[in-house]
Amino acid sequence: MTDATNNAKKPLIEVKYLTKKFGDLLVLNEISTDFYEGERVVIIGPSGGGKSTFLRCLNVLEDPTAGEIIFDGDDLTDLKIDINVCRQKMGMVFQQFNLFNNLTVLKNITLAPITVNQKKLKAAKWNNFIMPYYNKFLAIFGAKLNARVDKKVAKNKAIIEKYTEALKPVEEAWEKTKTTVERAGKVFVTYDKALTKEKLKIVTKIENAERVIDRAKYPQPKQYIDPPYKSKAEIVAAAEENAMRLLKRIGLEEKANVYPSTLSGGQKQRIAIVRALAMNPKVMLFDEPTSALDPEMVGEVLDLIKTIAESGMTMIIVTHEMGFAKEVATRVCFIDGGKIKEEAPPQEFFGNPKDPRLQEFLSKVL
Amino acid sequence: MKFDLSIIFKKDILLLLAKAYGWTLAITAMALVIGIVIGTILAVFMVLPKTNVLNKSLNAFARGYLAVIRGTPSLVQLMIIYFVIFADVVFFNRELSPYFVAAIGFGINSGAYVAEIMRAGINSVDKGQMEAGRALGLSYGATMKSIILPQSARNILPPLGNEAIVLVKETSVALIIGVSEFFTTIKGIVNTSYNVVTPYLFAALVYFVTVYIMTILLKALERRLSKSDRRN
Repeated sequence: MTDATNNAKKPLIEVKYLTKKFGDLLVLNEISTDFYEGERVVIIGPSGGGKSTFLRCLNVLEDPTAGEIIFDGDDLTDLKIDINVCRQKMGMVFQQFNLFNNLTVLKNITLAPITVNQKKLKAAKWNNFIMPYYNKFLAIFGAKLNARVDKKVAKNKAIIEKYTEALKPVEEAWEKTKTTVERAGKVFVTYDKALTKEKLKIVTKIENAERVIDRAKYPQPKQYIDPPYKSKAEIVAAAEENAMRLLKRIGLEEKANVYPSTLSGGQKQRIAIVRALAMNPKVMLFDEPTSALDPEMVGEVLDLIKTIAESGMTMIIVTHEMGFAKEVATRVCFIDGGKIKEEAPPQEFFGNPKDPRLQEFLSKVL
Repeated sequence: MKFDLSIIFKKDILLLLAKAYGWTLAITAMALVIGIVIGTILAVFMVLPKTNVLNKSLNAFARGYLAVIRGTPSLVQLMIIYFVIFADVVFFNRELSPYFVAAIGFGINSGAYVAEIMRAGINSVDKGQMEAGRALGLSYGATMKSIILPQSARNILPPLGNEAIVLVKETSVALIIGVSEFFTTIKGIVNTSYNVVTPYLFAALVYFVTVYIMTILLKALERRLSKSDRRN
């Protein structure tokens, strides 16, 4: 894939100024990058450099301190979106496998599809049940409800106007208290604290009003939803069939009814990968998938990841396996000190590294 | 005064004792069910991630409940519940039965202890399990229900059995609100037969056997729950 086609397409995941702090420790420092569909990005870097945290921030297992992650049109850092629905489209594989110990292998794989589809079925049934009443209700009271929405929008517009007026003198006074301090060769800008607080208060009020206006919409009549499965039995049958197909693909179908505690590390990790695949994700995140494995089991897991890569899956992989990175990646990123220090296609990345820290790192691991 | 079982092994007294013993078990069972329900809810409140105001207030509520219930004797709680809270409550033109009030009182009391047991059990489950569930797109509640709570059950069971055993013996406190449970009846026999030794020793024996049988049942249950373990 060339850069020209990349730029024409919209990225699948857009990361903007992603920052993560653990207390005072800055782990990720304003990382911005894009991931496109079909890309296989390998992230390498020294321990403690923030690569695992970066991956975990991508599906919000760690709450980012600041910044945005836009996945498939949704901003994952927005608290109002349904994060569970977004996560269903992102498979994740952990270093410690994290198979569910209380469930058999088959149930491990089918649990999420069954739960999710059942939830959808319930929602569809409820929607179809309530639809006629709701639509009748809307036909009678729709105009009134619309008027109420209009009123709400008008009220919030008035709030914005009022506070924009109020903001001006505060902002002017705030601007006047600006003092610049030069210390140790760096320039620091400080303002009066009380005024900063006041300004922030007003700005927050304006932003809240804007958000209300953004979200205000007329109530719409409900549409009939045709659920993909008609009953629980159908959902279970479909999920189990899919799980058996996936297990057959990795040659572990005879392990379907055993508990994870009886499996080897390599088998566990392959099942964890298959479990993520069972949700038909748009992107797979691998968090050091081979680091907790015996050396002789690394191969089988990497082979499975390679076959998934060949099927065109978008992948983001954190790993220490440099040979694997060379073979699979379409792009390699080097994360150190909370920043992406270098990103390039593998030939260039390994053949001609520019960043001095990366040169040092590669000379040690290769 | 000497040990003489003949004053207990009479038909009418045995019937009375059997009925009272039944009430003791019934109150224990009801209290345990109420306690487990309250305890599970409170434990989940306590382990909720403190990310928003609702979770924080639920957490504060659970901690407050624990502080109050664990800080006062169950005898005092039972008196307050029966003579203050439920004093004027009329249900279908009848006053509330003290048996019912005793079950609720002991349930509320043991709920606080069960909550701590459950919380410890939930925290004993590997954090990765919750992460794996959430990463698959399951909600917090769904992951809790199908992954975390079943796995914590094995760790919860021994201390929970402890709580049940304490509860069996603690129901004897209920005589204070006029519940004719096992120990109340034993006291009645003492009063009528003027024999102190036999009834009390017999009571101790019955409590001991009950608890011993419970211990055996718990062991069996534990063995069943560990079927996903490698060890069996």
